[in-house]
Amino acid sequence: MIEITRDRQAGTVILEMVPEDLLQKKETLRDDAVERTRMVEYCWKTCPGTAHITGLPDSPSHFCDFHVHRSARIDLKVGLCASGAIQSFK
Amino acid sequence: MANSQAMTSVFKRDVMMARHAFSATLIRAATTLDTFNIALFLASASRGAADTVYSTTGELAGTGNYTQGGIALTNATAPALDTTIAHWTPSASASWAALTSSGSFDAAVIYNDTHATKYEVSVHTFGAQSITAGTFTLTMPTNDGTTGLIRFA
Repeated sequence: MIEITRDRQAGTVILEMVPEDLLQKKETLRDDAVERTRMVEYCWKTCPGTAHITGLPDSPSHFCDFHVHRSARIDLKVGLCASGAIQSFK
Repeated sequence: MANSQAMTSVFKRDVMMARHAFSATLIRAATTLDTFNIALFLASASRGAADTVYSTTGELAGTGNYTQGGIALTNATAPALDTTIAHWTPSASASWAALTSSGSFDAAVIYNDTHATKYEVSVHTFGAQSITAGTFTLTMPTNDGTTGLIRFA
């Protein structure tokens, strides 16, 4: 069972547990020098998908934003470094 | 053997451990290590090097199982030296379960949650994410002088 949103409009999210065989699954992997990100999305198999995408600013890579379960794992490869030289008396 | 001008390597580590105070010291409530939180910020926010203290401006809204202020980082490993580079990395991943983010986010801010002023430590960016009914996990890099999350070289 996967918990997905049944509806998501105007900030309202309604969650529902759905058998996995009723869902389609999409995995996205981005791997570069600083991070490795794996995104997993589920959506209804019957969802019209692209019909929902237009005009949703918070959905960068999905096939639906009204019925969806979207997780992400980011493996940070490198952090931040502060560096500098000390002042010479010379 | 000649003298050589240098900032000692151990000084860089000791700064992380608050062993030096070049100004009037803060009144600390305890001698134990501080708690550092990590909070998530919207892609539309403007967090960066000019920040001084944590604020909720641009943070994810406190909805969808996200609590403003973020979560505490696991800090089981003290700052250390890798030859001349001091480094510190949280000792566990940061994770939010059953999260529905209030928008697309691409940054995590680490700040001192023990101090009342919530002094900010760092801003870490990543590819923009929008999580729905899912889990968001940030795993930490290898804790050494090359990749550690916070390093002084």
